[in-house]
Amino acid sequence: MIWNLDRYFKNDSPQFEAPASAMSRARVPLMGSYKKVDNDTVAISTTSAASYFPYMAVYLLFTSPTSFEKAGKDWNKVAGLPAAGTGPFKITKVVPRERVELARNDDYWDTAKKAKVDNVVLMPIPEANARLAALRSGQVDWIEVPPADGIPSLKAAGFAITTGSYPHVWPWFYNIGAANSPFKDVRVRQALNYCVDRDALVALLAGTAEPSVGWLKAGDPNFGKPVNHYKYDPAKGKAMLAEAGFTAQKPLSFKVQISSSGSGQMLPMPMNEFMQQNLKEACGVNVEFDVVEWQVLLSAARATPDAPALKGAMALNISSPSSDTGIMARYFAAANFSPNGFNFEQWKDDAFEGALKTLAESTDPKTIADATRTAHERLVDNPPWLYIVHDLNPRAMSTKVKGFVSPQSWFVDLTLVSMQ
Amino acid sequence: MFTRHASKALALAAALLAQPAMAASTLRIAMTAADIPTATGLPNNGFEGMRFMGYPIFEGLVLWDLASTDKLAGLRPGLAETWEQAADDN
Repeated sequence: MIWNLDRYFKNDSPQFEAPASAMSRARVPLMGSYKKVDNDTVAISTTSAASYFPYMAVYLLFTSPTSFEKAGKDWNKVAGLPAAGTGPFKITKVVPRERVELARNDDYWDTAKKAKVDNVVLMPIPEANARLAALRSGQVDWIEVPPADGIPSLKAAGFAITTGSYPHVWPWFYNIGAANSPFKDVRVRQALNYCVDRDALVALLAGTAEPSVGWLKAGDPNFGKPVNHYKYDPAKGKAMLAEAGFTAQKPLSFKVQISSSGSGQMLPMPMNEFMQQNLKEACGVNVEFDVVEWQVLLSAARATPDAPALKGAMALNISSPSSDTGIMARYFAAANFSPNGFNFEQWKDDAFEGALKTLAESTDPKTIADATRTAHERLVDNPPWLYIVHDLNPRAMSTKVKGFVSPQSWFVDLTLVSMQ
Repeated sequence: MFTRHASKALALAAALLAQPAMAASTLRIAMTAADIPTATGLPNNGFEGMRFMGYPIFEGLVLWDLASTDKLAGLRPGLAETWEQAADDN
């Protein structure tokens, strides 16, 4: 256990793994120190009080020191072994760019949760229509994110389409920190939130998303009562832009970095093309795109506001979870500015900071809920993001796939699935 | 404080690597990623990496409870059986 924590948090440990450390430090920014108490107990101290710490600890995965030893203490070679964990599956084969094969771990410690299938094959197929073709031809049994216009024909052919509401946002992150950013002005950030025709975008996606008018869903008990109720109101959007100095003669123009595919990105190309046309027609805003690979875009989110990697982009389209207050702190606390943390926007709001401190230090559910509502109201009224849609996590599956549960989470429990 | 039952399970998983996979029921999934997420136990490619190359193979002290559709996913014990805030540290 200590060995794995050193792998992430102790730069001079033999098992230090730099890329994994960078991700883990950003996901668990409060890690202070840790020590063995006895053979069965470890004590972890955070750098500040954090009632939500378990929601951060959930992202620290543990791997076998034995794999690392076997690979000659070289993480690049561990991947080829492959690495061992304690989970319900084990990796049996890795073919870069092509496939990963998993087999059930028959000796899984949690006997109640042993996997039902013998094997799982994972294939990277970034293009939505290629995934659709792979499913229809029987090359795969399950695809993530089918193309929206292919859903009716999949249903007609007897495939199952699963969707489910889950805590997720498909936004644009405003680059507030850049020297020449138009988004330093809160009116501009609010204005764009009134310019987006979310219902039309949802229709384009064949109903596989719902409108996002805040970080949390509008129906969430912690949504709060913000002053701004974002809806499609181009007149209001244009008026706010004009107040901030952007008019037809001097239009707001900026670049957005987007990915062509990727985790939770839904269908980024047609969706961003919609956004470009929508913002132009509704509010006279000129948007251009810099299209990069998903991994490149994720790295850009850790860049400082004027870093060359951003190529002048004033917004990033990065889908993100909105599952708990730990995630909220990670993305929006002033302590987590880029390049070390997830606050890419370099957004700081004093009322939000106060509410975050209150909920972090409390163990009383009501106090935590009240402070979460206050914090969320600030995320709406002083928006660090352009809120666009919440994904409904669409998947398409062959009818042979049984037992799948679409949880209210990014993650899935593959142990529940069987094949018939 | 996190109480563990990790080390035994890790050793066991390592010992099992030698066994060949039997071809029986196989679930084949197409991900949206352009490449295989890294396989050393903390995958890249964002949370899709964690979804498929993280939690199914590697675990944390706490884990997500993903067995229901009707409520927000919460946490359940993972490699730690229990956790609590230390009484002397508030």
